[in-house]
Amino acid sequence: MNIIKSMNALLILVVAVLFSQHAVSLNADEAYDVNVRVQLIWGTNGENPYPDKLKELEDKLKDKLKSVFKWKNYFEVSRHDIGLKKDRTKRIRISRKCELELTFTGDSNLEIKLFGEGKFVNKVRQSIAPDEHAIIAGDDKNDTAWFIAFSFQPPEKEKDNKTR
Amino acid sequence: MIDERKELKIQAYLDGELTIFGRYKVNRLLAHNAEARRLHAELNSIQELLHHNELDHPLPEDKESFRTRITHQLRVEGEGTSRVPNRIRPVLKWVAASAATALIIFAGVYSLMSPENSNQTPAHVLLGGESIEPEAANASFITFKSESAKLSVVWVDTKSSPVASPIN
Repeated sequence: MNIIKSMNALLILVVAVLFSQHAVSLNADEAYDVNVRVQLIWGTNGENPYPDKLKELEDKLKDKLKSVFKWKNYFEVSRHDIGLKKDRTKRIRISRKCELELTFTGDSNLEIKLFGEGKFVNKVRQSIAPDEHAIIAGDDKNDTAWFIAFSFQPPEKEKDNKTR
Repeated sequence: MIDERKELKIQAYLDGELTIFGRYKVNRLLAHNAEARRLHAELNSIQELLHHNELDHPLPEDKESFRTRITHQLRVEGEGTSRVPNRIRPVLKWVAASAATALIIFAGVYSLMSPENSNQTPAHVLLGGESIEPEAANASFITFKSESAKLSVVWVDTKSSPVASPIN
């Protein structure tokens, strides 16, 4: 009986130790070095076909895109705010077919791996200034285009959350 | 006291053999040294004397000198077609090549920007991206940066690469 009690106590101790270590690691993960905003954007000359799903892109980024690209309307399909630690990689799915791997390599350098339908497409190493956007983009059907915008966000938005 | 080296310099100055820097140094010597000025005047007067009193006595031209003269003339005429100095020519070639490349890129990009050519990549300014490592077979990428819009763009040519549109 004493042996069983001792075993139970030992088991509780082991569980407690493991839980505390996990808690420590969770806290450590929350102290991100940078916060990256990833926005999947759709550019079109037409109207918004899904007003309930596609949000009008914020004016600042929309004006930037309009000044460079030919499309008149830009809609945000999804947005992800990702906290990254230096030299750590995070993989996110931004659409049904497209995934990204993001690695913060220090200073203002971001390494982006793009996967289309599970296939590695390309790797981009980009230095992004605080008020700059890095864009990976391509043509889409019916004379439209997709854009993935990357930007560093101020520290107060340190949350790894998907807004939509 | 003018030494032999300075004397030779003054002679070379009069013969027009010095570089701009050499001429500058001799000018300074002449400005500050009376003896140098005297030598310069003397050498100059000798040179002018010889120049004006040289007999014009042409030598009979043999076959070899005739050939040399014709070759020289042809070379001079060939060079005469271009008024650009030889040392500027490589620079001009480089500038012309760069301008042509920039013009081609600009024309391509400009044509892509117009709605008539909506199948192709639209961009205003072409610049190098940081780094791209394409992996997909036949994938092609164009990188450009708009300083005014503060955008760095990697344009993936989805018509030749198996990139799936992330919208769908």
